[in-house]
Amino acid sequence: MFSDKLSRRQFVSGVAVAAAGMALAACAPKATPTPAAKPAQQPTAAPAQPTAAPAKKEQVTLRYMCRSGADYLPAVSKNIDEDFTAAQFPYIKVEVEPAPDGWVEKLLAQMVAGTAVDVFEAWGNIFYNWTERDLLLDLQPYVDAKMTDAEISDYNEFQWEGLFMKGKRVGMPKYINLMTLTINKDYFDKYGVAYPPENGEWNHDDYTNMLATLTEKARAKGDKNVWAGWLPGWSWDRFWNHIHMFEGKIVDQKYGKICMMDQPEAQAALKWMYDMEWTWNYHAQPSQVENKWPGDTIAAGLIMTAEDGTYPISRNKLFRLEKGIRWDMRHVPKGPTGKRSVLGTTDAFSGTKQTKHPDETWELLHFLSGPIHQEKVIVKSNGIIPVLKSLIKKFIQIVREVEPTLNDVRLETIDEILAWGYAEDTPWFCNQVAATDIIIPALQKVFTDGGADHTYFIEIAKQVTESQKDCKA
Amino acid sequence: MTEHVLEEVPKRSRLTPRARDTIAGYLFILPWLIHFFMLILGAMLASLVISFAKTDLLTGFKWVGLQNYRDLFKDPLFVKSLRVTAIYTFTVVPLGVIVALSIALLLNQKVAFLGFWRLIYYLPSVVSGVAVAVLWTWVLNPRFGLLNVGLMRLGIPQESLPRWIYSEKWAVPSFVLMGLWGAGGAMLLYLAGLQGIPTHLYEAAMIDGANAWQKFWHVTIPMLTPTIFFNMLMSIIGSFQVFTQVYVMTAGGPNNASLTIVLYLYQRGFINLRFGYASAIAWILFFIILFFTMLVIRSSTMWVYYEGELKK
Repeated sequence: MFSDKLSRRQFVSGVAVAAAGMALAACAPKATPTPAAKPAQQPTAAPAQPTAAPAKKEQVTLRYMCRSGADYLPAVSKNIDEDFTAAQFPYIKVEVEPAPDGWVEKLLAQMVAGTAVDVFEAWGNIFYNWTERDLLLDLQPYVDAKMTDAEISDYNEFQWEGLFMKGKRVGMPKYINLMTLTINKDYFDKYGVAYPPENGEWNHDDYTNMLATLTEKARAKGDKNVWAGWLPGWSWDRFWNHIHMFEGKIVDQKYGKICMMDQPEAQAALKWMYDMEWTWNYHAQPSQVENKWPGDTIAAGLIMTAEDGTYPISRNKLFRLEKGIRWDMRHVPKGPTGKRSVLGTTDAFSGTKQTKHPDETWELLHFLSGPIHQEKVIVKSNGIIPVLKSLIKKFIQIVREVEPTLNDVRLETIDEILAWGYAEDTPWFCNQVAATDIIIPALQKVFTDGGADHTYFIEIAKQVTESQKDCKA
Repeated sequence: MTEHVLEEVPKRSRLTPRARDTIAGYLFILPWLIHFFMLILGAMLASLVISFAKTDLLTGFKWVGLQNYRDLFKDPLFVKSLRVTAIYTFTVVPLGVIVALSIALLLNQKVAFLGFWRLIYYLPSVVSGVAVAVLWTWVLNPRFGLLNVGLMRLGIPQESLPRWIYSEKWAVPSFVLMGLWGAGGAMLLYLAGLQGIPTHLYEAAMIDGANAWQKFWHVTIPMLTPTIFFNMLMSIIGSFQVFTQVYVMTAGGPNNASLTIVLYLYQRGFINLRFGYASAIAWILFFIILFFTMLVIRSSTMWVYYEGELKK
């Protein structure tokens, strides 16, 4: 018989039982055993053809951490279900997991716990760090065994080579982001300044003069809160291409140990960047534009031109459809000797080393980077630049069909950058972490704070070179 | 027909009431103890072991003895992070005491809409760290942030205004200002302390001819020292661990001007995957906080006054 009142004895007993239960539950093994933390076996030198006898294969489930936003995830899942699992690999089921906030730390924690996903998406510096620790599935044996030269040549060299790090292929290209000069035509028309040439035949002097004219005309009209250009020079990914255009270098060679930022060519480029921002203020200073990324500064009406990444659909939605800005894209100007350079990103799909299904992981990576997924998801759903050369013209056509106002934007610039071959992977030091630990704060000192000029990098170059001396290439 | 229900006579416990109370007490704190021993103490001990190793926790574990600790004091970035954190702490803690106490004194007066004012001053202390950081990014905006617009109204020319978080010189003062904005939590404790001061002490002081300042200095402050002591202790511990604001607003920049110890620990651990080194930083920070905590506790015998306490 139960009493209405709970005695202290009963309460204390209940708490004790509950606490003991919780403790036991916490200590108990998981219902599903976690995969062993040991590294997965090396991929077979010549993996079996997937279509040879798929019905006999054991059912496999792959986990894919996908960074696409909620709007795009259904398209990714649908495409994998229909065109990968149903059409080609019925024995491979793919569970698409949205990448959480702080996914890098969380994926690392998964690796430590031995519960990492099989496939994920990342880019250069993450791959570099993780390759050094042998955390990634080396895809080169699969490439050698399964891909033809024609297939490989459809990828852009900067990206294909950029994903080969420390003797391993760390991923299959996902999409391309290229830097172009984004312009707000409304400001050019307002101040009566000609747009930069479509054919890219202009140089840094023309660029400087154009920004000077825009600045002067804006100030003459009393427009104080708008700047002619924006180049976030404090950002690793936004500064080095100007040094390359001035025929300078950051580092003597790929995985090199000598920092070249003290050399005259690099110094000339850094001086130009410093003057543009602090001496003439044709490029905005970070504090003038809340240090926002270029796209946001254009959308906010703070900036007339910016060296920015290329995402036609999302940029058009923000600039044209939401803010009514008539925008366009142009080639960045050539350097003093005619050289041109921009960052082309190494965004890629990659596999974790601890996957229990390396062969199936390869098949999924190959599919994601291949023509079907690239066209249906990367181009049609996400509206971003595909990794295959053969799809670029189709990409331009498709995004214009999806969004007709993109007919006013010179998307052919993208095709030309790839055809002319001036997109580059980021420079790599032997010890990249040590180098960026020194260079990035120095970039902030010069380009965020303005507390030193370009000559500061002469001392910094010495420090960076010193930091590399113990690095084993 | 009448039913006679015999009440069950509880069995007599073999334990004394005191023993039962003790057991009950421990059972009540058991959830916290489980949490502490399984999730905190275990992790702390693990990090102590890791701090003597070179490891990324993924590929290997090499015992290096005290090497991480030796390397730390030769690492200019660690030294810089120590300096930044010390400047922040030794500015924000005393200023925090002054600001919170001043607000509490004002709100202890009989003014109109007292509840409203108390709410307004307390509100910032309940806003989460990331939201505060985003809010202050706007307040500190050099062009149109509230702070600089206010300074311009006071006649300071625009070109002389601080660039706050975009400037090496002003980055740490920016975070100090932010820290002071959240003084509402301490203010509430001071307010409670003020209202607990017996009025007869003020009456006695008045009879002795004390003026307002003398009453404040010789009655209010001594009676508030336990609250000051508690707030100071909590502030020191909290400010040495400052992380969220700097991570969100400056990521330690520009040029490491706002690189705090915990941010550096995070960078070395989770970005560079040097968990042995990061654990060594954590233990150095632990001992720094322990040192200052003990210092304040030991010194409290000289300046903290507990009513009814007899000096030995």
